[in-house]
Amino acid sequence: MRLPKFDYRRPERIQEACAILLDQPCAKLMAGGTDLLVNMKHRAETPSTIVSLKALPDLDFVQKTNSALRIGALTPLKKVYNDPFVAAKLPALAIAASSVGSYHHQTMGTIGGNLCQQTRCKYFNQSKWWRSSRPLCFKAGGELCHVAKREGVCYSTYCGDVAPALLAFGAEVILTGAHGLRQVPLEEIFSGDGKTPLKIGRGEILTEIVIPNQAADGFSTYGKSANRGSIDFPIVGAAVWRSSSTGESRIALTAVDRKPVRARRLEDFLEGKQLNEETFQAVDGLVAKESRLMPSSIDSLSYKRKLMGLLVQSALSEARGGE
Amino acid sequence: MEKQFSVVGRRLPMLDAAAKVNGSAQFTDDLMLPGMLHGKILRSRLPHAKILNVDVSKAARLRGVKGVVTGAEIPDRQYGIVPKARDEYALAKGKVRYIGDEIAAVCAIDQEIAEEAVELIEVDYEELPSVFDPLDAIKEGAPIIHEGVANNTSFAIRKEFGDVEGAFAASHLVSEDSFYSQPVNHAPLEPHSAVAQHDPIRGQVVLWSSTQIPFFLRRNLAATLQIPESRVRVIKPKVGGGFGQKIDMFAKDFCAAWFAMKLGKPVKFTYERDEVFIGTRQRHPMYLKVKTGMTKDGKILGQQFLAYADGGAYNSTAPTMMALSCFFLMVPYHVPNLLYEGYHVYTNKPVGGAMRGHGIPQARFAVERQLDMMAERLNLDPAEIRWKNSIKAGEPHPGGFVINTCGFAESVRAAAKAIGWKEKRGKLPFGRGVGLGGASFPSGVTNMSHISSGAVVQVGQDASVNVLTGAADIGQGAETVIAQIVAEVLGVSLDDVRVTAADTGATPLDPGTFGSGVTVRAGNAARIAAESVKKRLFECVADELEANPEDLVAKDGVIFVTGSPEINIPFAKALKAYQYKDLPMPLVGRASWMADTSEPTTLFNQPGNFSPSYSFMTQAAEVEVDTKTGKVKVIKMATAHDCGRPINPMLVEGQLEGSIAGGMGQALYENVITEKGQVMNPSFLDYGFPTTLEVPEMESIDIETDDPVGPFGAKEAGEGTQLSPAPAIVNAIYDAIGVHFNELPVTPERILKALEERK
Repeated sequence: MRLPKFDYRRPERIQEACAILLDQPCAKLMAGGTDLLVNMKHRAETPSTIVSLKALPDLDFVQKTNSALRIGALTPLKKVYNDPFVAAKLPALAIAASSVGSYHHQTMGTIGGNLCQQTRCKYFNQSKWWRSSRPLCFKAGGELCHVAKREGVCYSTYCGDVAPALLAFGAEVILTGAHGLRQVPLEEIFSGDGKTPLKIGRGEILTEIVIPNQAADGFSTYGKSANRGSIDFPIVGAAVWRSSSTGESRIALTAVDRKPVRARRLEDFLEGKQLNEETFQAVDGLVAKESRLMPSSIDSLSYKRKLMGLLVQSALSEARGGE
Repeated sequence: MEKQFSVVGRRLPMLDAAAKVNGSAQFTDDLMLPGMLHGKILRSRLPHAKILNVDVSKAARLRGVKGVVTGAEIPDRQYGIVPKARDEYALAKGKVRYIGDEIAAVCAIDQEIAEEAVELIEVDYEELPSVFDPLDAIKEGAPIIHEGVANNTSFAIRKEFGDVEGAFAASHLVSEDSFYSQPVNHAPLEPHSAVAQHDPIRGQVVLWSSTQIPFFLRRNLAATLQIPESRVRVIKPKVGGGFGQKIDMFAKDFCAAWFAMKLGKPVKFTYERDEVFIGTRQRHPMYLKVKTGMTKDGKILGQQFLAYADGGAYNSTAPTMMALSCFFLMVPYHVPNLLYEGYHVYTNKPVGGAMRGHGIPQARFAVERQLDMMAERLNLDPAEIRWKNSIKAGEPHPGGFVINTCGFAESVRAAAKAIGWKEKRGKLPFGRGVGLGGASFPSGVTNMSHISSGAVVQVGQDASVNVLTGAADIGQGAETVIAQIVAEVLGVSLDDVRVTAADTGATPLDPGTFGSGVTVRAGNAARIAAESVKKRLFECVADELEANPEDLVAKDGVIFVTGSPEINIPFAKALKAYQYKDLPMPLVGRASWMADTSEPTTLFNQPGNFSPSYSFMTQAAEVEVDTKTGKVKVIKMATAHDCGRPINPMLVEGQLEGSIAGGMGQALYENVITEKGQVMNPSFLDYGFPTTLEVPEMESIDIETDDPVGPFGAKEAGEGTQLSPAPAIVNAIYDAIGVHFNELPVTPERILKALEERK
């Protein structure tokens, strides 16, 4: 399969990149390209212009400041998990980044690109010819969602590994636009709409991830269930962070809904409680309520549901071991 | 003791190993010819439909498009690998029968334009009702997929040996169980590709193709193009795996040749990965019902089978696949009474074809599972039940097989020992277990004269050895094995031998790589050709060495008198002597070889000795089941294998190790999932076969027999090993968690469900 025709831009300044986005609504950003190019070969995404971010200066860094760990959006995943501070103090992020795809994806793929990846669906991530057996789906520009069997909705699933780890850390992101930048909680960039999963303003670019220092003061892990030991997207992924000082817990899951989800009901339930068999009893039920599982992949829903509880429980019991 | 052989039996790297490692090996898609055009095929988007009209005008008008062809324009000549089962056109005529069926092809100056053009072809369909399950397709009133094929049953076989009813009556235990084996794709790393070039002056079309069967491909291509075979030359470049998927002709072969002939320019077609999954071949899904009668001490008295194979839209190898599935139930166990009833049924789904084991893996899974279930009911050891029922060399075989050598019983003991059977079976903690599976496979086919191989061995003036063989090396190392055989006969080193292979314009006839026959068939042809060279060389130097030619030995680069190695002449000098005597050069030996048989048979009608020899093996697995997630980890697999005398033990190990990954896929990971005939996981990502990270510790044990037919006593080592890993793994899962799984694949989800139901 070959790529469709497109214009290629390689701006050297961020404002220039933002200006292209404002000027051309059908332009798409490309960092490592591991997600976008496959979708383009499938004609699932056909941007008129690709704006490569690779020439932008100073977005490939992991930097410790007094208040936070700052990671440039163009930092390759491999560099993220090899960073000594990440590896020692933010294990959930190290585990998540090193569990993405294969080694090649980790070398080419960036942390910003991983966060902003497209949602996935068995009816969408297929060649154009394959998709011609059915009416064009809503996400690809048609009307019908083959997952929900309804018009005007999209139940493709967010499958990124890194997002749940960062959500559990309470990370924020910096969005840079033509007229400046703003810092927002990571959670706010996910729309929960399968068709347009990102809620980033027109002309804005995610340039930096900010992980508060507090994140390093606690236990964290990321559990991923996948078909094989390498290559695969998660069937379910779950990140857990538990503060050493306050006992506060933050839990996030991926591959269970149209966006990565925080398990707030469970977090609230765990507030002030000991981690023990009794509290674990509640995990399955509370976690299940956080997502709207839909059959967008070849994995069965009941198995996914089981894994959600299992991964969170297993992470929590690991957290208990550290307390 | 002096070692018997110098080159045969040694662990030598494949001749093309370095080229494959450094990337210089040329596969079909690597070939670039000046002015080459690129083709693309339009495939059906519907599972079953009449083609009312195909409008190619827009595609033909697109700038850069050089040609378009539809099914209506090609000769009315169906093809298929089995003559009696031909039912396929390179491009569909009038009707499409599955999502992926080929309708038309375009050819353009680059790939992008070809892809764009194919989308501009407009097809008017009249959709027909579809059927996706063979058990529905055989019902009265089911949609008819091929005109004139009643109940969609394109091949039926019923064979009875002995008296099955009598055997059941005499049995202490009769068990009847149902099994299902899923569709599995071969998933060769190299996608299918073809490049064609036409020489209008000589009137010859040359096709480079990723094929296992250059000579059969030549025949099918000539027949469908309606030109003489002599006008077609097929050349096989390096092939990146076939596993049976590349033994058919495909639309890419026909269309490349068609356009090359029409347009006078070279043309390339390479399939996308989803085309490989959807539009080539897969292992037949099969429903099996098995009834077995045993004595109290576990002796098999009789077996009855009912098999429904889901053939998908076309036949491919259907009759052979069903016949093998039947006859190979009577090895490696002695089954004195057998009744087999099997049906190959069309459905509107991807096409079933030969896949490593060819109809036998499905049947073997059912038998090996049921043996364990019956052993339990009789309170017998599953290992014991296997060696007790082992067929023996020289024993009369109900189906007419002649078993010259058989290391099966020994293989059961050796594999059991290697996995720690005695200490582990039934004794490991919950979640861990061990299991066994046995198997046997033919070393090629005896039945027809067109299943013969030729070879030419030529010694040049510099004493270098050149071998011409038609054998198709598809990555398994056929060329290396043949070179080792020739080197051993002539007493030269492997480095001195060069092989030219698999070119119908230059090398002698060979049926190709299927039925696990290459080493025995092409190896014997090469051996005899080399022996004829040796004979003449011995006659030439006998005087000089003051010995009879019959008393000479060629070994390690010298020719010497047997018992007196100090009386010798180096091979190169012997060749000089040959030239000084003014004997005609080059020194050439030729041979044609086919397996000797008194009663040729295809097994369709009459029984008989299907193969010159039969391999035997037992595979043992140890697994660990994560009872929380349902995931199975294969910890170790041990294989005890009787492939006669291995020509190259390292290559045999390569086959064994590959079969373990394949068996793990069949048992645990792989399944071509369809939704209304559409393949839902046509990618390496979603299909999810095991990777090196999943592959366990592997031990291989050689049960050496010295086969009288094979070259240097060798038997097959290619396909047989694929039969037993999956049942061994599933039997080990039973030992681990006490659940019988009789349907494949055993996914984590199914394991969790079964564990819950057990509670």
